Parts: sequence; structure tokens; C-alpha cells
Amino acid sequence: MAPFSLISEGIDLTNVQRIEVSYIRVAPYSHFTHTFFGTVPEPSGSALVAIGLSGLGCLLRRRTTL
Amino acid sequence: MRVCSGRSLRRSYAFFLVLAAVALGREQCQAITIDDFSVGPVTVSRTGSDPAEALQTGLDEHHVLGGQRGILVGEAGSETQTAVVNSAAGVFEFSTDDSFGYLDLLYGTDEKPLNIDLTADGSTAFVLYETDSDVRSAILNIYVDSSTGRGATRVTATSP
Repeated sequence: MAPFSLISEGIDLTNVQRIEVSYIRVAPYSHFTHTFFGTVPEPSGSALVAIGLSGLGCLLRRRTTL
Repeated sequence: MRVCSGRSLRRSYAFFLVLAAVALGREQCQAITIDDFSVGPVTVSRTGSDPAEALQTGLDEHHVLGGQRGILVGEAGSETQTAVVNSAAGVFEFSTDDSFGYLDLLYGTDEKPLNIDLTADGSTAFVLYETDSDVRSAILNIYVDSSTGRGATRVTATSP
């Protein structure tokens, strides 16, 4: 995975002309298989915080029952 | 001490699991398909000193962004390097022999640019799914040409 935020600055991602995937110095006697190349949304920070708080709540509730 | 009922605890767990599934499920939701390797079967092999290349056109744009796929094999390195699009299986395979392998996959050309908004549908990252690999080392970069210039980033292939 490669977040867009790691791409060099100054690139207009809303108007992309070409995309190139470049494999360099693949080790001798290697083989690989790919099934998909595309884009994905990453989980939002607020959602991860909500998961964390919810999980913490579960742990605390469990502790009170013990 | 406040004591929770088993029912309340089960509800908490259920809420947590649903929330996690929804949030993390977004990551697996593919927003833009650049190539799912289900169309345009081809084998591109370098067997000798010269690189081998192929430019496929007229492909189904639902499966290959822009309907074109360029493959360049062996700009340097081993004299035996092979790239295969096995569309029946929906996979792309690459192998190299007794020296290093070099490979480029290209989408969009000067004559037929993609003109695409990569951030549409909330996309925030490239993803490259890998199902089988015995690569001990390699450098994998993605280059992006936009109306304002060229950028690059390192990428790591992941399991689906």
C-alpha cells in the first residue's frame, strides 16, 4: 500500500495523466503474482478513535463483571 | 461496584465488532480499478540482450484504467525475464532468472492520457494485491504524471 500523502508534493491528483509501476532490481530467481492494482480509501482517524474507545469500554465493562 | 449484566456486555461487544467491521471494511473497498488483470492476456519475455515490450489497447476500461496497458520487461538485468497477464485467472505474474529483473507497467500515454481524479470516491492510497511471492528483495515505485508535474512513491505489495 502507498498513501497518496507520500507522493512528492506539487502533484495534482485530481488530474492524473499517466501512472507507472516500476519494479527495480527484483532479486534473481524470483517470481511474484499480483491480482489487483487500484486505489482504496484508508480508514478515517475518527473511526479508529471510535473503535478504540468502544473496545476500551468493552474491557472496562468486562472488568466490572469479574 | 457497578455490575454489568451479561446481556449488556454482549451488546457492547456486538457494537464494537460492528464498528470495527464498518471502519476497517472501508479499507478493503476498492475505489478505482487501475488493473485487475482480467482482460488482455499476454506474455512479454526478454530472452537475450534486448528488452521486450507490449502496448495493449482497446481493453475494457472497467478492468484496465484508460483501456491501455503497457508492459516493459528487462530494461536491464537478466537475459531471461517474463511477464504474463493470465486473464482467465485474473493474475499478473513476473519471473526472472539468474540475474536481477526489471519491469514497468504503464497506464495512460501522451496520446491517450488518463485524465482521472485519483481522489474520487474518497481514495487515499494505492494498493497492489499480491497472492504469491518469493521475492527476496526488490524496489517497487509508483510514478504519477499529472498536469502539474511528476511524483513518485514507494509501494509495498500486500495480501488481499
